[in-house]
Amino acid sequence: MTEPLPRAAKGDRPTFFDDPAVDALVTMVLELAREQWVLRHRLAVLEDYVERKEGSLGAVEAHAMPADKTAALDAQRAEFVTRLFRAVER
Amino acid sequence: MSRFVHPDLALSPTLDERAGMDFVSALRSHVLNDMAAHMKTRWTETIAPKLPAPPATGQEVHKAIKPDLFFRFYSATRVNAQEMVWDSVRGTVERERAAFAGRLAGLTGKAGGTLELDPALEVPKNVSAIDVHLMPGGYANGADGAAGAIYENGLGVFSFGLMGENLDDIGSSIALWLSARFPDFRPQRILDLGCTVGHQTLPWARTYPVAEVIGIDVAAPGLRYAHARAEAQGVKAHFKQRDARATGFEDGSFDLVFSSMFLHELPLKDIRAVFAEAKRLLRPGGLMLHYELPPNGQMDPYDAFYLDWDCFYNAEPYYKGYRDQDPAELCRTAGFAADGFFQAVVPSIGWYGADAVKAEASAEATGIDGNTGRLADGVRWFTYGAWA
Ligand SMILES: C[S@@+](CC[C@H](N)C(=O)[O-])C[C@H]1O[C@@H](n2cnc3c(N)ncnc32)[C@H](O)[C@@H]1O
Repeated sequence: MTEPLPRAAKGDRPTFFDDPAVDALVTMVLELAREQWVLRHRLAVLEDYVERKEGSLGAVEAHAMPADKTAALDAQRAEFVTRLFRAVER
Repeated sequence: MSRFVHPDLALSPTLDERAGMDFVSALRSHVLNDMAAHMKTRWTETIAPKLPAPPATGQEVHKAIKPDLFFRFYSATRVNAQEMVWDSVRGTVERERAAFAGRLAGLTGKAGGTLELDPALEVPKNVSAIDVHLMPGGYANGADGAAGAIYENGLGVFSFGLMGENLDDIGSSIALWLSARFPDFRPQRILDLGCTVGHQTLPWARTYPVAEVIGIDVAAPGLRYAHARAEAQGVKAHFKQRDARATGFEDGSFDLVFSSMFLHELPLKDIRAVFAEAKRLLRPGGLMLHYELPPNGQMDPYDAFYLDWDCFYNAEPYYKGYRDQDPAELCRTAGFAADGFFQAVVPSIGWYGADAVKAEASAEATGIDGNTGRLADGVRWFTYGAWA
């Protein structure tokens, strides 16, 4: 049987803070951030879909966003990433 | 569909997986452009002025910047983003793995290229024992081409567009530069060392269509993927599982021996062995050419530190050992004549355009700057060569 693809790289993970809890929290925050983005992205797609009342909810998966909305989302994402680092980028 | 991947090899990530990949790309772009700029400013305006003497080396910069809070956030975020690159594609590859193996196997016989695997070849420790750039499982993981798919899809996320639509900006830029710089050099047989999935192999076949182009690597998954990818793109190239330190090809049988992002993943003794092997393989008048990170000896201490970051935090243990070498000296030690050495800084074709690449070929060579070899907006590629 084929082994599942490994999730983690070999070797110790580098840490940067005096308290390793901070390193772990950075990871958690970034994972939350990714998930938050994924949900927000999905919501935007759904809203667009509902707005235009096309087909069934199953079509959301394959729905192509119009270029202007994609561009707006791209900009919002960059903004979101910037906000995430508010505490340290001053 | 996955971005930067030929439709025949593309995966079908879900809407959420695609958004996750885009998030990781945006995060990386922010770290490598915005946070990197902020860190440099902190260094020059806040940290460096407080030091008793200006640091002379990248190591001294590293030591002085390490306690800084922003450096810690930059580094922790960059490590996480690196892990998230591979994680963002793993689920899709895993889900499609069985069907994908069949698709790969079917992509053959279209362009006339070949695939030669050698299950008996011993995979060297630098590949088998280390998950270089934190890629879980490394290059040689598994018996199918899944590790190739992880690499190519991951690279698409990692490079946030800077490697071009076909992830071959390095090879395309450098092949165009070489053909413009040395128009009389028309290589007939070309070898790409440590080719992985052949991203920088195929530009040579496109630039020199009559040449026989061969890519070698020790890792089978990438070669399987490389063959399928070349055939899908209709480019004829041959992929062979061989060790670049002892390739088994005949003396004087190549006109061009090239490598890209390869040397810095080798221990120094292997680099020397590879150079000696390249010298053996070249016919008189042939060329050894490498795309690599610029050497520490030609960079200011901050830029040297900035590039060496990977050595300490990105599972690239040989990075600094390589970057501390002088390329001209490495070539000389391998038996290349000192006056046959040259180096260049080639503008990225995707960022600056083909005309800028050609202009660079006919101008006085540009020196190494902070953009050289650094994956961020406005990247330029460092390359060097030695005539045999
Ligand atoms: C960073 S990748 C090269 C990427 C590729 N050349 C490109 O530019 O797209 C390094 C590759 O070198 C291979 N490698 C490492 N040691 C090797 C050796 N001794 N002989 C041949 N290949 C080797 C690894 O398996 C890996 O695929």
